[in-house]
Amino acid sequence: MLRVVLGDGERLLEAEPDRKLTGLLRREGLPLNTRCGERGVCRGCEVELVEGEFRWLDGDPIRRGSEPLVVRGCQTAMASANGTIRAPHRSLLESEAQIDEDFVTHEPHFSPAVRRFRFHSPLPGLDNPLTHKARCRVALAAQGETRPIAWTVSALAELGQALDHQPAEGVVLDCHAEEDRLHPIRVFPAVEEKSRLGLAVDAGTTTVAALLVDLADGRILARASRYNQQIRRADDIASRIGRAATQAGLEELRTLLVEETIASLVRRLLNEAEATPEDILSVAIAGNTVIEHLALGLPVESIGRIPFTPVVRDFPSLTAAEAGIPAHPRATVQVLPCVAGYIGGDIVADLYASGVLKYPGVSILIDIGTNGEIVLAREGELLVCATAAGPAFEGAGIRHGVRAAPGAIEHVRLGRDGVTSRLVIGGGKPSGLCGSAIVDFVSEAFREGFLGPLGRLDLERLRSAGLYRKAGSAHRPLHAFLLADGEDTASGEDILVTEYDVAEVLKAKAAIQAGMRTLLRQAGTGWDKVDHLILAGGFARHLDIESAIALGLLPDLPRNRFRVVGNGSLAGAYLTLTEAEALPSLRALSRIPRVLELNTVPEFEDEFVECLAIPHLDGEDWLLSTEGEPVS
Amino acid sequence: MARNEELYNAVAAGKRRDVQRIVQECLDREGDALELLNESMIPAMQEVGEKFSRGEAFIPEMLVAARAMQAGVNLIEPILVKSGHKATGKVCIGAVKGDLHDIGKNLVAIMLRSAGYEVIDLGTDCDVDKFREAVEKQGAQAVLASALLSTTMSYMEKLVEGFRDRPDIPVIIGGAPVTEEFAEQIGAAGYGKDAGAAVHAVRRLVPASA
Repeated sequence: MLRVVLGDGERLLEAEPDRKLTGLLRREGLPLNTRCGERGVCRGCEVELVEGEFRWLDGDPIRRGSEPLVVRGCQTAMASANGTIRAPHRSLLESEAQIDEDFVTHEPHFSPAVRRFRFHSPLPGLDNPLTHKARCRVALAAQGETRPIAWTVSALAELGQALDHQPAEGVVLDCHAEEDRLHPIRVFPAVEEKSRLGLAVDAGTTTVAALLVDLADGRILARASRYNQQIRRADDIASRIGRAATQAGLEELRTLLVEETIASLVRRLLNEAEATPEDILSVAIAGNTVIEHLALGLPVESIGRIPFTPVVRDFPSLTAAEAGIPAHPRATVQVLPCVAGYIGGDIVADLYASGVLKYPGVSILIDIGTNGEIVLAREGELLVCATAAGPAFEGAGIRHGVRAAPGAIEHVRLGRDGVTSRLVIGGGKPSGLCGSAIVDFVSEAFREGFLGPLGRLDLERLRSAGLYRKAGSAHRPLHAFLLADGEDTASGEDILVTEYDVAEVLKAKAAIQAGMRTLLRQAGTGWDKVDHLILAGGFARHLDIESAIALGLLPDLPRNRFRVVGNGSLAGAYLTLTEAEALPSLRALSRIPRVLELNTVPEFEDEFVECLAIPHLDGEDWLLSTEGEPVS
Repeated sequence: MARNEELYNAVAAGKRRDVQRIVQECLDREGDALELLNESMIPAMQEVGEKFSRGEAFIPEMLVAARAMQAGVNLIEPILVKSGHKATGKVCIGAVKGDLHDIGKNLVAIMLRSAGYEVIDLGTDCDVDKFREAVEKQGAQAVLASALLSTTMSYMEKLVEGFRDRPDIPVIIGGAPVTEEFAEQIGAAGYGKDAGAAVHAVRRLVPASA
């Protein structure tokens, strides 16, 4: 037996020797973070060996003194019948994530592409021997619907059945309407009264969110989200591209996304709405270009190297049966069109849902996720770039970072003596801090003098205030700020912010701020000309704008110019289901942007370094004004 | 002359303008700029690099200091060329084919310059021919290659292959996804876990010029 000590208790697992710890824990429902694909190169799956015999995978026994030893779970197996390990919170992979489903869209115009026709077709006589197909066409024409109907054999079979046994109430034809034709999805006797549903999916690098929508009125029936299960194999986009280089790797990533993530969400949604897969008639998926390709099993290798081109930008639609999504087999699956290798359908969705093209003047839209995408919109023109922000703002990659879920510290305030208040999502004892709290912390700690402009803690100050903690190991010390004492936390462990965490935040905010500055410069404009700053993405919903400005993540613009739209990607998928004109508009939008590759702009690196300090180096605010050059 | 404390601190704290000012003042009064470089700037940058390797300083400080250092070096370099100053050795550096990432590579270049090497910066998206040209036409004694994507990393194997006939030219690799195991596997002569380690690898593999 293997005893696994967790932050909030322990589990006893059936265990056999010679099996890797990661495999053992995964089987028992305690998956460790195997983001490097169990290659032993990251530290995601680290566990502490407390008792018992263990060995390395190559067979060598692990020698350990009386102290617990930290090892990678993917490189370690049990060598005795019983043992004890400790799995720290940071090594456990949560599979349930907080829903990032809330969004604001432009005023929706409800006109779903899934159309329902109800008709009764009189039995033909010998003088008028119409086929079933022709009778259907005549009946639709009588209702003013004259678009050609693209029948498939399987749909015709249903039509034949339905018309041969036609009840007095008639039959129902559900179809997917395109501009120039109708695609029948199903035909059934009208007495059966089936609902027609749509599935909207935001497939993010880290999180996948989904909605079940009633296509009769646009109501959202259920919401759910889950970590993109691809992170079991690779946690960032670059490593997923690497992983997908072989056919087997590509298929594995497709399966992890479609079957283990999306299909699992669909089952939950259907359960909650008490509906069946057969009722889902339309599916819309938005994501970044790589994830969109992986969802369809398309290769992504070319996105990983110059000139970063995808296989396709405007994805042809396919059926749910082809895509492997649990829905009506003839349901239409539409993946939203993307712009380029690093500008995906999620950004096109942001643009559409926020209606930014219709804004007067200059607007900047930023979608902060693992990658930060930035769009500058001016008089119908769009200039876009992507910048590698890293996962810090999503609460990943930092010591006590967590997703914005119940238990996460969402906001924190500091005073002269340390923490003065903190807000925990859902109340109760905190389990860690999410991206918005990290942003609060860094800006507040800087203001209160606990932190220098380049992210160094004032150790004397911390010690005298009793806030200093040493993290890291004896030969590699890491200084940390005590944010919450173990007595006040869910796990009983202190919640700390280390200098390393701060450095991660500084890199992330510098990437975003420098990206915006570079875009403004390329467009020959400055912050004083920016009328709207639109914040998209789940992180933006929690973000305190004042903290973000103090940190130097966002510019110090009049506050009424900021607008938070939330998950624009999911909003775009939702609108694709509920507005027939959405897809043609998204396609048109996806062709407008001019893509700027930041790494080819010489000033970008300089801006990046400039933005690494809090709020930025030398306190230069030159881009705030288009009048004249920086103050030097 | 001993260390110029003000300059030393300015480099370590990444105060670019102060560095430029102090160096320029020295140049204006025709002082010994080389001494400033050797006694104050290089030790400051080395200290930041060592702190970084020990986990006591992080990327932001390192990059900011490197930029300040570079600003000073830019002023001094023409003087060095004129005076016929001899470098410790000459190496070339570039991000491999397919890769556009510059920042980490630039940091290594600055650290190498701080260690007294002449560095030929080949930029990004460099193929084997570009590296070979730097070796054959410009006399680079080592090849340093970086990759920031696991997708472009595989090109490093081709690079090592491309220098198989030149055992005298060590190929040293680094970058976020690159591991020591990978370096061994493809037969690279050296591996730099970070900028400081890359400098150590060069020191170990490139014989110092007399």
